[in-house]
Formats: sequence, structure tokens, C-alpha cells
Amino acid sequence: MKKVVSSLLALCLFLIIIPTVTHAEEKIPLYLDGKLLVPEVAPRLINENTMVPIRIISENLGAEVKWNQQELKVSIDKNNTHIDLWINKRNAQVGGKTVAMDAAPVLIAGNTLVPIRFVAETLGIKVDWDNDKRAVYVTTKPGGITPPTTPPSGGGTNPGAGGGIQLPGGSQTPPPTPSGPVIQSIKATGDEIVIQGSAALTASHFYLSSPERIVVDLPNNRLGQALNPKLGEVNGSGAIAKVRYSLYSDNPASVRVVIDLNSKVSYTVTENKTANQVIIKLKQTRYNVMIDAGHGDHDSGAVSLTGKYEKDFNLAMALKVKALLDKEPLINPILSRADDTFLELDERVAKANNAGVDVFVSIHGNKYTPNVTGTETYYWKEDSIQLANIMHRFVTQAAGLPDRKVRQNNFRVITKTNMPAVLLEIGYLSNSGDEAKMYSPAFQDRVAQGIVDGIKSFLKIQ
Amino acid sequence: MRKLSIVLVTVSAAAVLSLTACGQKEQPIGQASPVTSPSGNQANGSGGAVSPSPTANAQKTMQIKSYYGDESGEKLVEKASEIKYTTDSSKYLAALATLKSSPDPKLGALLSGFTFTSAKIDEGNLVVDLKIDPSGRWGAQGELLTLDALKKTLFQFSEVKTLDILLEGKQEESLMGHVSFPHPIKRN
Repeated sequence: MKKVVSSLLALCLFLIIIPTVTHAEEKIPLYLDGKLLVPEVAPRLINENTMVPIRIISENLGAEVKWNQQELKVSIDKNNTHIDLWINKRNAQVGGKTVAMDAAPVLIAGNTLVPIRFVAETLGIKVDWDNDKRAVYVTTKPGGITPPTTPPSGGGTNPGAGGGIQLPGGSQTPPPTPSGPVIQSIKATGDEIVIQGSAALTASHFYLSSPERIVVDLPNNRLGQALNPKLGEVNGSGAIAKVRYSLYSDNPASVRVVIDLNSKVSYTVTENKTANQVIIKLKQTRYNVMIDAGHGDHDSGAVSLTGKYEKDFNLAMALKVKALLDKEPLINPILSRADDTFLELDERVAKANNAGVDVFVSIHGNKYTPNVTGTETYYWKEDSIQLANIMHRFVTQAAGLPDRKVRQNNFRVITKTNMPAVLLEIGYLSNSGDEAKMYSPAFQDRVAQGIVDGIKSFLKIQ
Repeated sequence: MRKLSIVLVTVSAAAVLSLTACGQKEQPIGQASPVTSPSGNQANGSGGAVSPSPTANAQKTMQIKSYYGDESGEKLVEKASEIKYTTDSSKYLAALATLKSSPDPKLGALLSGFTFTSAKIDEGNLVVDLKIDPSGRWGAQGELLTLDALKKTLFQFSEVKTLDILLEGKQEESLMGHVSFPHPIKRN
């Protein structure tokens, strides 16, 4: 499950961070069981097919979604139905059988958009298109349901958390704007955000990493006159980059506030019922950074040209990086191994995942035929591309060896960890030039500093 | 240390040579043709017979594909090679032996540090037991290529449905500490 969550997260990161004000395509209202969904990436019409961000499929249709970067494949599981879709391919596979779709999934600005009709109907969910209103109605519940008397309090964050159930179908118009409670203002000052309501507010909230942000949902509320009718943002300072807000759900009404952060924070949410306020207070907190020295004990790793072990190089580097990170007030460095011990690959992964690590850097020395020389940086997951690019820039510069590029490959410690993760192959122990440098203390110090600078750059620490 | 690994490589190379030699030894005594003689009557009792069965000595020749690392260690290169064998299990070992040294000095013999102890097939599951000399351990990409070379070489035999690679008799998580693989590996 954790696996699913992490890959989902990776998938959704892009979706949640990009406000959608500038799309040229027609935006399509999407009603789920009578409730207007207002996702941050709007569904849109491409060649007369409604394409929705994959997040809708996971969050609102309650399916499990996995992303395979190498194959550009989206796998969707719900009940006993398994669907595989590929970016830009019109053939899907349903339970292993090939089925042609009207439109191929597309990747636009980091968002995976899939044809809602095909996916929903394959999962046994009804989809109706109202051409007059140019709106899509998705019905997950069997017909003839009476509207609920009280709206749910959980907000729009849980997939399948009983949304407002109304009679679906094209005949129903979206309800007129009721005169319920509204959010009057959102103010960010220093490390504090104050959300002012017209009535007492109840907030649900959660924290997301890479990039760091806090999501606050305010159920039963709409946006007041002073705020842009559908979505908008206010600037912040200090730890706050900006605060975005939107009418996340139309019926029942729910406002979502996303606080984009400049750094990792701990925070408190206070509901002041008499002042009709929700106050979010932020405090900068340390990033957990895991430095993983590859191999150890009976696993020597590569044996160098002069018979030295890779495991010793890796450990020396990890200890140097740790010593430098210890001086950083905003970083809490964690070593997967601090001495010559052996850890299975999955033990390293578990350590990182269990410790709530924000950045994972595995250090290795390479080996192949004697002529090959240079530095390589590997990543696997989409959430690690940026880290890989930054680390590679700093490490190649510090090492001064030929640039063998950032590459994507499925090495265990970078595939199964659920945070941005890279594996650095600093240089070739099988090459006489690389090897001589790699065991010199000056080179090691320089590369350790490069690794630290890369981590700080990624975390935007000055 | 280096000396020790050279000795080990030599020993392991010799071990594999002696396995493939079972077939080759027969040639001067038996038929001259290197091509398979399917009937068993040409079999002779000369040394190196693996199986007591009279037909088992018949030497077969097969053209196979073998895989090596390219010059820069980024991808696999396919080469045709010929193996001679008598029994099934010697067929797999002969195929694996082609991976230990490369026909082209520019290519990387990914399995140069491997010693293959046994290769037995049972109901489509081929179990290969092997040892890796520390000198034969590659970096991350090299390990990935090595595992791919093993899989591609052995799955070219259609009867091999699954492949279980054992490291000194044990089902380990990884060959060289970067890539993990299942037990058994399924044919794609």
C-alpha cells in the first residue's frame, strides 16, 4: 500500500502544484454523483474527448493508480478490473486484452490526462455527456438516491469519502449559489496564515513533501466576494512562498487552501470559533537526509584496479558528507550504515521510508572495463528527476571527471524509497585515473562538499 | 588480493573449460564432423562421459546468442556463438561459459568473474548455482547488464520458463548489491 501511495504521490505532485488559469483548451465541468469537482487541473476537451487528470481517477473514483516512468504506463486497479494505459497510445489493455480507445492518454506539463469515459466505463461507472451544458456527469452510485440531509465534514481529500449524493444526469442543473458561510479573507504575515470566515470554521489539513506544502480544507464554505470567485493566490514571506485557494468542491461547498512553502515546516492549526478564524502557525524544521554508503562487510562492492574495496570508498565519502551536514542547522543527516556492516537493499529502503526521510543519496564507486571513466547519477522515479539533475551538476563539477550524464535505471534503493532518491556513481575504480583520485583525501573532501552543496541547493537552503 | 583474484579466475576458468571439454575431447577419437550426430551408435566409451546412458555421449552442436557489454558499459551486444554439449545440464553450462570471455576485446565479458556450479532444469524451472569472485563485481549499470545477459542467454532456450539464480546455493536478494531480482525470474 505504501508503494501505491508513494507512486501516487509522485504522480499527483505535479497536479497539485500547478494552478490552471492559462489553458487554451475548453475547460469541462465534471460532476461526480451530482457534485461539481473543481480539481486544480481542469478536465479538458481534446478532440471531443474529455480528458481528466489521473488524480480524479484515484481520488474521486477510488481506484489505485500506479505510474511506470520507463514505459510511460498508467495502471489502474479497482475491484477486479485492471487497466493499463500508455501515454500517446490509443490501445489500452483491460485484464490483459487489448482494447482501442477514442483518445490516447497525454502528458501535458507534467500532468497525465486520461480519457474519463473509457476509464470510468471500464470500471463500471456511468458517464454522461451533456452537450448543451458541455459538462460531464459521472455516476458511481446506482440511480434513485435521495440527497443527504447533512453534508459530510471531511472535505474533499478522501477518495470515496461520501460526497454529496444527488440525483445525477443531464437533466439536473448545478444548484444556484446558496447564501451559506463564506471565506472572507486569507492573509499571510510572517510565518502565520489567518483564514477569516463569515461563520465559525472547521478545518481539516495535511502536509505534502517535495515540494513542501500544507493543504487545508474548509468544508461548507464558499469563496466570498473579496476573493476571486473560483481560485486565486496571495503572496507570502519567510517560510511561505504563496497561498493558493480554490472552491475545491461545489456541492457540498468546500474551499481548499494550499500553502506553498519555501522550506520544510512543522505547523499548528487553531480554530478560533468566536473570531470565525483558522490560524496556521509555521515553524521551520529540519530536513531528514539519508546518506547511504553502498555495500559493506562481506559485500565489498567493486574491487579497484589496485585491489581496494568500493565499500571503503563509499563509507569514507558518507562519513565526510555526514560531518559537513552536521554543521547545517536545517538538515538532520542520517547514515544507513556508519561502519563496515552489511545491509540488504530492502533494509536500506525500509530505514529511509520509516525515518520519514526527505532526500536519499546513495554513494557508490563504479567498475567496468579499464577505459571507461566518469561520473554517473541515477534516478528512477519522476519525483527524483530534479534532485538527480542538481546532484549531478554539483558532483561532476567537484569530481572533475568526465560527465557520463544523469540516467534512469531501476536500482533497488532508488526505486523503492518513497522520497526523491538518487544513486551516485562517483567514478570508475577500474580506471587508473579515476581510482587514484577517488582514494585521495582532497578529492573525497571536494566531492563530499559537492554532494552537500547539491543537497542544499535542492532543498533551497542558503 | 589481486594475485588471489587472478588465481581464482584462472581456477574458475579452468573449471568451466573442463566442463565443456567433456564434449570436445571426443572429437579426435570419434567422428570428425563437428555437427551433431543424432544417433547414439557413434558414441564411444572414452573418458568424459557425463551420463551412464549410452546415447548421452552423443555430442550435439548448437548455434546460440551470447551477450556482452558494449564498449562504454551502457548496453548489451549480441554475438552468435556455437556450443557443444551432451546433456541438457551441460547445454546450459556451455551457453553460460560463452559469457565468460568476450570474442571481441572491445566488449565487456560481463560474467568473467562467475563460476557456474550447476544448471539443472525441472519442469521448466532452470536452477543455476553460481559463485562470483569479488573481482567480477561491477558497478550499478554493469550489474544490470550482467543480470540481463544471464536472462537473455538462458531464456533463449524455449523450454526454460523460469530461472532461479542461486548465489553459492542461496536465494540472495542481489548479485552485486544494486539490483534485486525475484526467485525465480519469470520469462517475459
